[in-house]
Amino acid sequence: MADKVRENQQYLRHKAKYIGLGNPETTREEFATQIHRDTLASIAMHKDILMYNSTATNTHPELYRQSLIKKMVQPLKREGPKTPGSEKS
Amino acid sequence: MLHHPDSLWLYHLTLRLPSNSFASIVGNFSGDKKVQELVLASNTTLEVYRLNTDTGKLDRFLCQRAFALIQRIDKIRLVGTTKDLLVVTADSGILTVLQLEPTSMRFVPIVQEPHSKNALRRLTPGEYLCVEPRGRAILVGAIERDGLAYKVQMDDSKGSLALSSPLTVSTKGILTLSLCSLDTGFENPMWAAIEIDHLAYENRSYDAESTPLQLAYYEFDQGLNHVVRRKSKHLIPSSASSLVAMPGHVGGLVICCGTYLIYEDGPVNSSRLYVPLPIREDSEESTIVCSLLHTLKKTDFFLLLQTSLGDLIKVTVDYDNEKDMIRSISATYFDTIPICNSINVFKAGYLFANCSDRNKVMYQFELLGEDNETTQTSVALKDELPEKTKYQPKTLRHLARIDEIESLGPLTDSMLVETLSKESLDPLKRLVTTSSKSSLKTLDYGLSVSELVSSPLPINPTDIYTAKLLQGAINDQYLVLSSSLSQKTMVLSIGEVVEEVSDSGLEIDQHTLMVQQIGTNSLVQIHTNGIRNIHHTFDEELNVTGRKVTDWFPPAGIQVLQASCNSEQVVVGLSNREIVYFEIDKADDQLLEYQERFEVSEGSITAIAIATSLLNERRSSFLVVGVSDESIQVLSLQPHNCLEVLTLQALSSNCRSLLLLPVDKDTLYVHIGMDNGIYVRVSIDPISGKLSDSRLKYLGTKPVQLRSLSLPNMESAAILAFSSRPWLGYFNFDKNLKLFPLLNSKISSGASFYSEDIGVESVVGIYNDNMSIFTIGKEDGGGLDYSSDFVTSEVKLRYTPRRLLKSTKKNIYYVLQAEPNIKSPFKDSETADEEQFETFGYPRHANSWASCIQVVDHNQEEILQTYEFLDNKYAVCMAFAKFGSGVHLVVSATQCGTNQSYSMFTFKVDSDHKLQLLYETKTDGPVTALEEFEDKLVAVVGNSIRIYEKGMKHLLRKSSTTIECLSRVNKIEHLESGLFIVADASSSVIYVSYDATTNHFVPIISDTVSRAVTAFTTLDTRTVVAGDKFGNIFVNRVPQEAASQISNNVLTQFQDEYLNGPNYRLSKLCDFYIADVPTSFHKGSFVVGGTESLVYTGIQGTIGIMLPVGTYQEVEFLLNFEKAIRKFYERELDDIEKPSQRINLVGREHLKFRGYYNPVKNVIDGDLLEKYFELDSGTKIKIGSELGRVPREVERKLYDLRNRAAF
Repeated sequence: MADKVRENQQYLRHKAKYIGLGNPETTREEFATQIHRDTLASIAMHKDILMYNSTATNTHPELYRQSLIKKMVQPLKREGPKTPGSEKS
Repeated sequence: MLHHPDSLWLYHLTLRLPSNSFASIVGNFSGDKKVQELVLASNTTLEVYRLNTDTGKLDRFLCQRAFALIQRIDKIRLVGTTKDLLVVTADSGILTVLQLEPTSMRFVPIVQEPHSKNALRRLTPGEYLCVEPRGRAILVGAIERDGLAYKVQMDDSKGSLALSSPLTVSTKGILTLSLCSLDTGFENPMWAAIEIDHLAYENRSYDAESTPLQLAYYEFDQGLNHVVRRKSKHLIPSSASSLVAMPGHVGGLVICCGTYLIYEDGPVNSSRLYVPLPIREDSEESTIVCSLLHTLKKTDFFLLLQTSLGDLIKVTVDYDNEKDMIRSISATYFDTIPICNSINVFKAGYLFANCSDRNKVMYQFELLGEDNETTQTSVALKDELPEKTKYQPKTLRHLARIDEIESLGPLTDSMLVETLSKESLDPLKRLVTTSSKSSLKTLDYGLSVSELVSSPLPINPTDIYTAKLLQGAINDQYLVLSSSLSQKTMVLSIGEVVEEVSDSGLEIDQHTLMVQQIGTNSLVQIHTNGIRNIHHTFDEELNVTGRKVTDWFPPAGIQVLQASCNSEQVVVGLSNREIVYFEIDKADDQLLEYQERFEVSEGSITAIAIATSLLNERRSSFLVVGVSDESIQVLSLQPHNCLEVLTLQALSSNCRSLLLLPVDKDTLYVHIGMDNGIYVRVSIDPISGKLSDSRLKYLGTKPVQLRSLSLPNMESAAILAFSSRPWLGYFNFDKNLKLFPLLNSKISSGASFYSEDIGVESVVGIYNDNMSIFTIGKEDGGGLDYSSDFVTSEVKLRYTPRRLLKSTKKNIYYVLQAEPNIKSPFKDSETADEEQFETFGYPRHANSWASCIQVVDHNQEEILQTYEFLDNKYAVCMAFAKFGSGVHLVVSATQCGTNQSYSMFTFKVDSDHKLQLLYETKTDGPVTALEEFEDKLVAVVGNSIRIYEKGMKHLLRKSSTTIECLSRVNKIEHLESGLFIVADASSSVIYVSYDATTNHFVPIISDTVSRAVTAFTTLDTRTVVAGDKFGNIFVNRVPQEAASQISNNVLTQFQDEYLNGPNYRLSKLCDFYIADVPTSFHKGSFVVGGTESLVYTGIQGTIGIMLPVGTYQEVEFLLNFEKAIRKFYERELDDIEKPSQRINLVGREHLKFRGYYNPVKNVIDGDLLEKYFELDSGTKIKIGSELGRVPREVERKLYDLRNRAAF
């Protein structure tokens, strides 16, 4: 039993440092949230992909970058009506 | 692996670096107080420009690759110094401080402080970088949670900068949107950030449009060595997009939020002022995307903010110095410029606009602007904000456009074409790109010339010479035209008018081989029948008062064939194979013949040269003779062994023309033009006369004639080469010879020409019986640009171009354009004012599309036709189709709205290339790819592939196959006999075959990796090269056993499914990371007759080439070379003593960079190998010895590789 507690403590300690960490109890939602946040941050930070998307949607790269970070708050939330430009030619 | 029979090795070179810069900084990086430099940072490069304060033009003098993804840049200056340093964060996880090394004029790292793992992660600090304005501390932030604060110290031992170990700033659940550093004077350094706490929204709903954001302050407590985070007392609205710090005496910061600005004085009081922003008439808010603070005098300053529509808003502060408080803040509409990533101001009164999607522009301030009707002043409470004040954008009033820097981003599609026309049978390769938001830009390798004068001549000359009369004169006096056909010479004098002179004393009944000023005031003319020396006497105003003519004649019946001379030596080659050498007698400018003559043993003399355009010396110590037995000989002209043969070199063809020119005091080159159209440059040892290191280049079909030329701001002489087209070669700043075709010039001979009336070094040339005087470089481009390899020409388009198709017959291009979120003004009328929209952009409108197809005549550079899509439809893709007879263009379109509908427009292409709409065919899903197939059309609708035929009223569906493994197809290409390649945005490339008996498509081979493919092209029927959205380029090949199955084997049609796809998988041959999203691929090369290679373009304007490496021997050499250079490249900063050896800018490992997502496979990075040129000679020798070569051989190898398919 003590092992389990220690294991859990260690998990939480690691989880505080590496926020994407998971264990068998991680829910599907939690997992997907982390993946989406990683993806959104990656798009926001890679200038070439950011430019590809901002060209396709006709928005300023900085504004597009900020909108991606805002999306990281609740990445799984369904968006309203699809905005044009979400698909690239 | 190396010797695998099916392997392919590629050598990668970037020909044009990404042109889109995300940041720009102005500073005194060279340390000179009076000179301001501009640093532009792109994804992977740093460029430095220097402002020419007289003309307002920017000259690029440095461009360095980082071999890493640069994230942010900022500048820092240490107390008591005048030199700015550049702070860089990159994906290496290292904080780097770069210094512009004054001797080499390159950035070298002086501090590299590792802080995190490499690559861009949301928790890795580096996405935000702010240096405290007084240079005391640096804050590096991540998108989520983490930040690092560095204290900056003077390193006393070296007197340079050092960073303390970082203090971590960690706030759980915080996402940062923007960061800025406040000017706190001598209080603790402080930063402010716009943040969202995502933990607060775990159980609450978050709406990006309305949920407020928070403002947090980070204070570096210098006493406690600790960073304190303090939240502002108030929240900020969700529209807050950027922060601008106020200068020290005012303090505080401005938060830009949509319709108004908030001024907040700091974390202690958090007292605020609200400034309403003027708003453009047809929009709802002024979202600020970039800003700058410019201090005019000590306390006089203004802010310039740019809105997302491109309008500049000037913010001024009325500050009460006595009470230390702000009276009011006002915001005024200033001017409209293109939308920028950053803007900068130079002290000399220039504004640099780092435009995000078009050419960067330099403006000059004409007025600073005053308050007008758009001016808004601050209020104390938010409720007091007045109604929105709207303004109408106006043409430039305060700024004047001065200069542009060419930028290609976003480059969405391109075509590699050959210019073959009736006039010039010698084609050039050019790249036609749709780039830089709404342009069709054509890139030609070469230089353009701007013609000043052109006039017809009374004779039909074959050669032209210019001559001065006096030693040290600036202006050329005579223009000598000579014809080898009619054996005539004509002399023109250059003054206010160009007119023929009869009293020049020159022999006019012979063909002139050379005219040269010699001695102090003599002119020597070498013609086919002898040498004429004209000694001039001048009066005080330098007018000629007398001439004394002396002639030298060869033996009777013998002609002078070749000649060369400089100001002290003359050498002539006679038809009896003899070479006669003369030197000048300084006392009376007479020529003294050397008592011996040299006789060429075999063949005749085809060319002869002594060193001209000498830099330090006065005499040439060598004579180079071209002999008709396909060789050249080097003879000494030293007194002790005069006319003794030193070296012989065999050539591939007879030498037609020779030049001997020095580059600097230790380097002398022999330039050889040969009968077979090849130009060779050989380096000659200045002591021994040994020839080595020959570099070849094919120039054209005709024999190569060479002339020397002087260029503006260039010490060493350049060369003009004439083959089937004129070429210009010059030694660049790194002492590498660059050879460019002169694009818009037809001259067949030319000479260097200088006249004070023109003011710059120019060229006078002849073509047929015309004479033309021109300067090199574009008229408006500020003369010769030594940094660019391409000449760009542009045709303006309407919206963002997406796809490009070229008509098979003529130079006609069809450009598909579509732009979301704008309302097209062309829908109702064709007569909308295009210029106005070009300046101010189209009116914004959410969920609205504007789209059209334009037909562009590339020869005339005009738009033939525009077909505008109405009813919120936008075009997606297009293809030509024959449908039995005539050419048709099929365009698929999507109608955007509450319920989307999809259709295909079929146009008939008329004989005048215009489009004529036949009909529109509805489909049940989005058509994302089209391709012609025999007399039919293949369309990909959703995940099914269909065949359509032409009908009377619409296209008729003949077949439909749903393929499960496809989801978002973006290109389909017909390969051969019913075999197709399909590129999918989520499952890589798939081979699909059409089975005519069952009328079905069958996927036969798919890829092992799911990739988001953006573009591809086929290398052969079995090999395909493609690029994915993450910047990888990969080559896939159909394995041998699958390839043999495909042809005539029924088994492939009925194979079992395997892992959600067909049974066979493609094998990967190459993989490489280019740090740019590939948008198109072409098979071909940039030089005619070059090795068939792979040309790619990237969205940021990158153009690169990958050449196949043919032999294992060569592969092995290049791999060893790469390994050796990598060893030097990847040393730790502490191990490198000399700054000149620090070539790794941000400490990123090269292999990790090129293997960003997948390990590099079978690609050798020529960009890294070419770093060899930057190394110091000791390292060069060391690397060379590891490869068993001397540096010169290694450099030659690099040159050869480059010239196989590029330049």
